Amino acid sequence: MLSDAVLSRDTFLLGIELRLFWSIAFIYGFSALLFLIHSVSGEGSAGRVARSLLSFNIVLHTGLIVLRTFEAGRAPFETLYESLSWFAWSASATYIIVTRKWKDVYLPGLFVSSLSLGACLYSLLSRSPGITILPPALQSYWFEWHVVFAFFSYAVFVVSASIEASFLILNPFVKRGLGRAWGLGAENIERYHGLAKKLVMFGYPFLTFAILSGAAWANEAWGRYWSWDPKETWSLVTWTVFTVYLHSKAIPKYQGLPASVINIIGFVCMMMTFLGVNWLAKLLGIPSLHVYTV
Amino acid sequence: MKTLAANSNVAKFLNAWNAFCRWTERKLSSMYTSVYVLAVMALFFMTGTIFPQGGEYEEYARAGGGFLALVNAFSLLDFFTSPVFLILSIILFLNIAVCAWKRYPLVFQTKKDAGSFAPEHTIELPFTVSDAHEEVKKALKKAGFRIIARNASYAVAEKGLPYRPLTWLYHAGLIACLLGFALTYFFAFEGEMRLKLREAETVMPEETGRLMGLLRGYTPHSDFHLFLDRFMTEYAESPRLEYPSDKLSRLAIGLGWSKNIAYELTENSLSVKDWRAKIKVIKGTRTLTERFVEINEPLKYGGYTFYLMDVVQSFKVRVEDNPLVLETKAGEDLVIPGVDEPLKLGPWRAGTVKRLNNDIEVLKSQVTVMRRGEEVARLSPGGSAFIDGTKITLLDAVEAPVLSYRYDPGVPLLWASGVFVLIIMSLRFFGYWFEAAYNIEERDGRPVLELRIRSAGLMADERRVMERLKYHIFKQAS
Ligand code: HEM
Repeated sequence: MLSDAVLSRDTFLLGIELRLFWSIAFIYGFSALLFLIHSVSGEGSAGRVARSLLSFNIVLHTGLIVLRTFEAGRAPFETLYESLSWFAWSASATYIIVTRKWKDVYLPGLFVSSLSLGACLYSLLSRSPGITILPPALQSYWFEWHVVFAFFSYAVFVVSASIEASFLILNPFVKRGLGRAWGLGAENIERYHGLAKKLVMFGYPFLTFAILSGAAWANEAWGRYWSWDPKETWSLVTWTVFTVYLHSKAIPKYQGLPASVINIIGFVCMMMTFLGVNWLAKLLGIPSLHVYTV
Repeated sequence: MKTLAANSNVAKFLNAWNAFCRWTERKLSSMYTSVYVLAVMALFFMTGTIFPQGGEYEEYARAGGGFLALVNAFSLLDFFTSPVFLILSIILFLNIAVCAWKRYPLVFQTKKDAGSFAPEHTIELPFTVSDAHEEVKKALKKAGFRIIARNASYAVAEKGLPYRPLTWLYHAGLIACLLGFALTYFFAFEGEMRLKLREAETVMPEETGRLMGLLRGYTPHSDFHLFLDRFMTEYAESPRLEYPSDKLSRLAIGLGWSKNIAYELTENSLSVKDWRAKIKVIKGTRTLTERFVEINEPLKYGGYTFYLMDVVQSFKVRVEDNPLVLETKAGEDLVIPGVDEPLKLGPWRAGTVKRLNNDIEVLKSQVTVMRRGEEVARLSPGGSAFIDGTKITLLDAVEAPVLSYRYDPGVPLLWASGVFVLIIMSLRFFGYWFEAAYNIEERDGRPVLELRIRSAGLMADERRVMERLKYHIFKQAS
């Protein structure tokens, strides 16, 4: 094939990709709106439609990710444009899978779909979708494993924090016998809340693997397994905060509200690791080895 | 009298010392301490991302950096080697070590006991009172349980991976990880060397690890030389995307209202795909080993690991027929008499390129000459150009790798213990464990099984295990 033909094919595919991506962002937005209507009014049908729409969107988003992988000829999470899309998809998919036995509790869906919408809009409006070749430092067998496991853990922590926040919001209503409209009663709210800890337990070894594999990779590429680079350090902050969370779950005095708050702090730290650190590094003028992923 | 008083002072001191030791041990074996220490650790890590690590205090102050007194007092610009951070790390280490040591007997040595027994389930057994014990044992076995303890009032059976020993083991693994970090902290050192084509270079570290003196006999030897045999750069053609930067135009593309988007190739659309340095380790005239070193593929030899860290392009230039040769590196200002404003040479392009249609071509070796960000000439080796009427000739252009090298005895321990922690932790978290404490009571002449089940692990489903147990009990009876 001539170079010109390759260029026009890639331009054509990128045009399709962008339209699909915008449609997906709109659907996330629409399902967030319906989740919001449910959350404010307790209207079950709004929640049901929102959930179905989100499930349908995940199918579309899977298609988008397959298309991107085909276009790029590599794993689709090298640039921040791609990572944000992957993040939105994996968080939403995890939410739908994890809560399949809790189909009548929709409040966490509001958090997850809003976050997915935010990630998609940030990607579409502020990042360039151009496909670039992998720089030599990223050409490593660690790249895919390291990133995939980090993102698995992110997705799981997002859903855990959404459940935790929903529990904190709904628990006072359930205690007054008013939780039915939001799918929870005195008999099942604790079991529902238990999902938040299970999810952290699920994500924690993935995050541990991500940090360990990142260190192994840094050891091969930069000659040092740990450089106290801001992104590395924030991943360690996140890991440490979730360690505190797991420990506090084993201490009766901290099991309740303190542990819930720590879980949400863990989520905030995770978002700092994923996105905030880029702003922090720029804001403070700290050079970060990881900034090339922006 | 004096001796009596002295003795009582000594006794007081010893008592106080013993009380202090007991208090320290109690605190260090407490999970509260681990929660506080880890929380402070997280805050310390955050602090280290706020202040530029490795920065100079004077420079920081000159640039208008804040909190100067704190920065100075707590070495916030080199926080991760500061005394405050080291003390907290030592407390964390002691915390885990004491915890593991104190909990060892609880986890491994005592006979299993389920604490106070408050049954949560009862099952009326379809057996005679005299058969009940044996039949329940059989059913438990069929459901995958093993009996691990029995006391006067109840028995304990277990199924799956015992989670307490696993929890203990990965905490012990964490101790080994921390020791790995300590080895790195005390003994690791690194340096840098620039290789020149077909010349031998020796490893000459400017400084060694903090306590390297203690390991004099084990210091890695550097009686060998590195010889750069070949160096290659591979490029790939990488198109640039024409894409609007304003948000409305981007939305318009997404909605299909605009087609303002295209991949384009220009002459400069080349990205480095790979650098490959063929390096020989030589001693005298002997070649001890040789291999291609790339980013992500270091060379390990003699206790050191050599990494490809950077590539430097340097040039030799002649001005007119002046016998004096000017030397410069890519991107450096080159001041030439008779030429307005400094010139910059670079980038130097030599090697192969993979075109978009997968053809591989050899690049015409040449360097761009720039002035104020604009190209004014291109030179191949031996070629000349006139700039402001001055003849400039490129005599030579060399691309050479910079290697960083490192000796770090902490790495093997850290990898081994890290992998160990990860495996054991995954078994503990993703696996399942059940503990069934049970007793058989006689009610109205019929045996009744009283049972309490505890579980751990993400795969543990108490309801399913109860169903299985019931299934085996009733299947045996029928
Ligand atoms: C870097 C330090 C540490 C890390 C990463 C860590 C990690 C963890 C994790 C992830 C768990 C939860 C696992 C579970 O639910 O079974 C846990 C549990 C536990 N940790 Fe740690 N830990 C650390 C330090 C300590 C220290 C210093 C102590 C001593 C007091 C300790 C005592 C315990 C105990 C007793 C449990 C079991 C809790 C239970 O039975 O649910 N840990 N640890």
